[in-house]
Amino acid sequence: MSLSEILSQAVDFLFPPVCLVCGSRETLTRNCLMCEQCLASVAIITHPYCTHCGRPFVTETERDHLCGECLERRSYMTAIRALGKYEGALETLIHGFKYRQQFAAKTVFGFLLDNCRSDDLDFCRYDLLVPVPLHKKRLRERGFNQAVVLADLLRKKYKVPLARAVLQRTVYTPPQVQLRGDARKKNVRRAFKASDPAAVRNKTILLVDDVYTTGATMNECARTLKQAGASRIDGFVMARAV
Amino acid sequence: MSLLPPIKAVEKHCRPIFPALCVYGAGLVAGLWWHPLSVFPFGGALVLLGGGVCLMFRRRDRLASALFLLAIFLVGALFIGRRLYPDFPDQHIYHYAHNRRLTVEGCIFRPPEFSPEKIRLHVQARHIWIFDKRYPVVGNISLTVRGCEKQFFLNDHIVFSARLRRPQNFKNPGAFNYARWLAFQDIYVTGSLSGDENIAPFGADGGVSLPRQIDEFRNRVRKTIDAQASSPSDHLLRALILGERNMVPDEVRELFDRSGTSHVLAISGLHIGIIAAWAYFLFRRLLNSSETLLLATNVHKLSALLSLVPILFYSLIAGAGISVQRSFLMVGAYILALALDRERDTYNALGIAAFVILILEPSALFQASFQLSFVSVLGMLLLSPPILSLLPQRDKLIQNSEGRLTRAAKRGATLFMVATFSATLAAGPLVAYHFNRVSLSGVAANLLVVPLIGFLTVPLGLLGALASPVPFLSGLLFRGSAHALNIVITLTATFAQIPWTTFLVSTPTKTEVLLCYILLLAICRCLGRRLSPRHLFLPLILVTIACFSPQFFHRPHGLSVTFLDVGQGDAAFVRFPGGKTMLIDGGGSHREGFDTGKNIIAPFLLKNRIKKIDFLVLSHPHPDHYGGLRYIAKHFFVGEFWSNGDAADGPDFGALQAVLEKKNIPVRRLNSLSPRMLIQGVTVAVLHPSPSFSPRTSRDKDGFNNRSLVLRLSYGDRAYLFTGDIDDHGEAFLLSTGADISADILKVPHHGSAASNTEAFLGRASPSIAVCSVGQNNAFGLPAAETIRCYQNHACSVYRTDIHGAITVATDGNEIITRSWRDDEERWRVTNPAR
Repeated sequence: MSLSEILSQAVDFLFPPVCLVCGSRETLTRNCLMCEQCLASVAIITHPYCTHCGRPFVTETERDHLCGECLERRSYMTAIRALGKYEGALETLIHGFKYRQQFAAKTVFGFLLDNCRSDDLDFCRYDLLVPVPLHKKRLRERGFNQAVVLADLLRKKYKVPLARAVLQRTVYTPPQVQLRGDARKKNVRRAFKASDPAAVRNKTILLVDDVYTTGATMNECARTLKQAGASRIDGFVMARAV
Repeated sequence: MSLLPPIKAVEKHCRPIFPALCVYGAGLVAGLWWHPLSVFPFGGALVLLGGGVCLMFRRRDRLASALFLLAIFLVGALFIGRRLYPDFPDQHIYHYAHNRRLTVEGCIFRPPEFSPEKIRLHVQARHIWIFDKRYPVVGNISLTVRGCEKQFFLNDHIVFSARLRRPQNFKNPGAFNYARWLAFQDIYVTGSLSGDENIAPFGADGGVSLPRQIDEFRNRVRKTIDAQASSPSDHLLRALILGERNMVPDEVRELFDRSGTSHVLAISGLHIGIIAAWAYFLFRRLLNSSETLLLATNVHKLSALLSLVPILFYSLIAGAGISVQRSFLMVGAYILALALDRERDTYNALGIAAFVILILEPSALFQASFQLSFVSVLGMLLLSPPILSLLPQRDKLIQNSEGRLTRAAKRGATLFMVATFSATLAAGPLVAYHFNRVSLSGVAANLLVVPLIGFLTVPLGLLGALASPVPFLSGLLFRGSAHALNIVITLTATFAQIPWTTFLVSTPTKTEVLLCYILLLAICRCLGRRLSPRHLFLPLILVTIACFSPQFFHRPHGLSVTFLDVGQGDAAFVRFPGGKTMLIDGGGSHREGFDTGKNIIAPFLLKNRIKKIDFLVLSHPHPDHYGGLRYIAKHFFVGEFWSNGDAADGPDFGALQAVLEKKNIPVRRLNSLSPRMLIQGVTVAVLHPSPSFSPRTSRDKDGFNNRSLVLRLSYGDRAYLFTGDIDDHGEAFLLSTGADISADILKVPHHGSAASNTEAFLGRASPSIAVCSVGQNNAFGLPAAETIRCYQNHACSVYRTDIHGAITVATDGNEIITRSWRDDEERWRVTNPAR
């Protein structure tokens, strides 16, 4: 038994873990803080999906192809991939993480990242991980940036450098959650700034966030990075609205 | 994306600490009666424990758990048993404690405890001096020092000359077990001394250590507080900052008691928790200002961990007593849970805190403060959620929109109110059990007092302590803190005055307390919709039966008299056949701060569910007879006050008279001409003093003793004679009047003095039972040996309160039944190895 294992056993003994989603203490999955049922309800996105934005298709027999929206719309990102659908346990988890200070959700994210195989997104080939920034004010309120936490997990796992502050949100905007469609796009327009263009110039960048809904925020970030000279930008999110 | 092959490593986690904690607690309780050391050596338990742990790591099966739990049980019993049934080595100071003056050398091992009139030092004895020779000794002494200007610090090496005693209990049913309380702290010897010349500190033992520096720092803070604040807020401030709650004057303590806020006077998890919350928010603010930190670390966890520093400072400056350590551990466990992302299950953290405390201080389980802290926290955790769910506005998801601050404030206030309510409710039965008090204004008063103390007084006071190197700043902060305290005192006084909000309740039995908690738990489950309301039925019925059955089944018949052990003094409680009650004298102590009424008589009465004294009788106004009556008159319902009309000078007797006047208690002056009274079938005759009697003799200067009320209570064929403190002069006069003084049970005149109890008096009274009310090792050498012999010659069985404890003599008019405390209550005694 290694030292870290003993330590984690001791922690489990002192503070027994509960499922972060339902509070149950039965059938907890090891190293995960989620029970079997809740873990099963995490909808991992599998093929077929949109080759650009990663939207999963309903029919399972199709091949991967561009979805209708992506055919019409221009994006600054080359490809966007999501781990799961933004629903069920994953939604509860992310909500708890962002709004109810459930930092333990980080363990579950780590577990999911460890146990999911992505077949067309090779994390190791990126030069830089860039999390979608929060405005200073929001950051203070929340005490952390969920995108940074996720990006940090990727950094540890794939040894890709992480730029915590290369992108900055300079305009304080109302939360996207309360807005619909085009209003979202307008809301984040010119809200970001690349504070250190030299750090991103000619780099292949993976933009990281927690949730992808319409892609307005991520796309605006990508635009800002592109203008600062980044060569290619892909996106990765924990969950994607469908 | 695709999920890797299904994960099968599924575990079930229970709260592992709970079974262990329960078994350990059971072991501790078992240790009160059973000392396993005789059967099972200490090492054996440890081997068992080690074996259990090893097995548990290798294979988690029943055998390993059983072994482990058995070992924990034994360790618990051993921890208590080794204190209660000690095996003293030859050179233990216990063998030298024979109520004689001895010169002792030792070291102060705990910070001195301050009270307004005295200092209590805990000394580890090293040597004693006998005839200029030094002998090594071991063992601890609790030393009370009065009238001494010298300063003492932790680790001081001291030499003192004091009277050493083995602690003795007052042997009454329902009494506080003082000797046991000391034994739990490994103290079997007490000493007292007064005056500077009997004690000398010789500086730090073994160099200047950190604990001693802390103690010196506390002394600086103490001086600043005394200099800056005026009474009583300085005493309160010392209680709240330095943990010296004995400093709080009785009248102020009473205000807090009556308003149900007395828990704020003892530094508890509440204080430490509030300071932790303060520190957390301050650190959070501070760390929030750095964006780099916000992006690189978790400021929430960091602030939580950092807040350990201020609460450690508070704990240390508060003297790190047992209750402070406990609070620190409780809050610390929660902070650790936060830092480890495991705050969702706080019960286990609470269990761990309890476990650690009980290992460090096993006897805490039997202390009111330990029980109350944990029950209140459990109450908050268990009761708050169901109560919150009952409130109209359920808390919605916090979203970042306008009015966030107001909503947060509203939510905070609601939470605080509900938490206070839950904690008060949960603590209620235990408060009634330990303190005989139920305060209805408690919730409202706490809502105002706790924020004032938590958000103003304590933080300002602590800052003041921190700033003590800068006297001006420190003084300013302390003054601000004292101002807040003055508001608190005014508030508590206001709440204390509201009539019908605070009740003296009789002591519930342990079963009743348990039933109350079962009911409370059932209600809480009902509210949480885990139980349907019909499940409440059974506990409700049980509680009702438990609360009302004693009135129906335990109603004693006949006349019963209990002579209480009040030390050197008199107190007899009479229960008439129909339930009326009479208290003849209330004992009294020359010791400052010990009230026989409060500490002996009231607990006895409340344990017996008596809250009304129909006849409060004072035989004569000497302090060993009226001392305890003031408290009884003040706190109990009193029908009439009987006396012979004599009045003593001095403030104490004046206080008794003031209470009688204030409560409009009718005072009856009795003498031998007063008509006989028939009270529920008992004839009460006043035999003495006669108006024509001139009491003064050379022995009895003020004449009070000889003018004592002499009462004869007869019921059926049996009679009791209460003689007060008359001596031969009074006895002779009584004989000459020809009054019927024949009695089956005689309260021996004047504590068995040789000057009373004449042969002629005894012959006429011819009792079969004589009760002598005397204090152990009293300074007067009472009762006189010849008196005892005299009674024995008359074939009379003599009972002494110093030997037998409280003695109850009951009669149905024919048969006499005698029971003493020693017969049925002697549960605990420090075994005295014969040497």
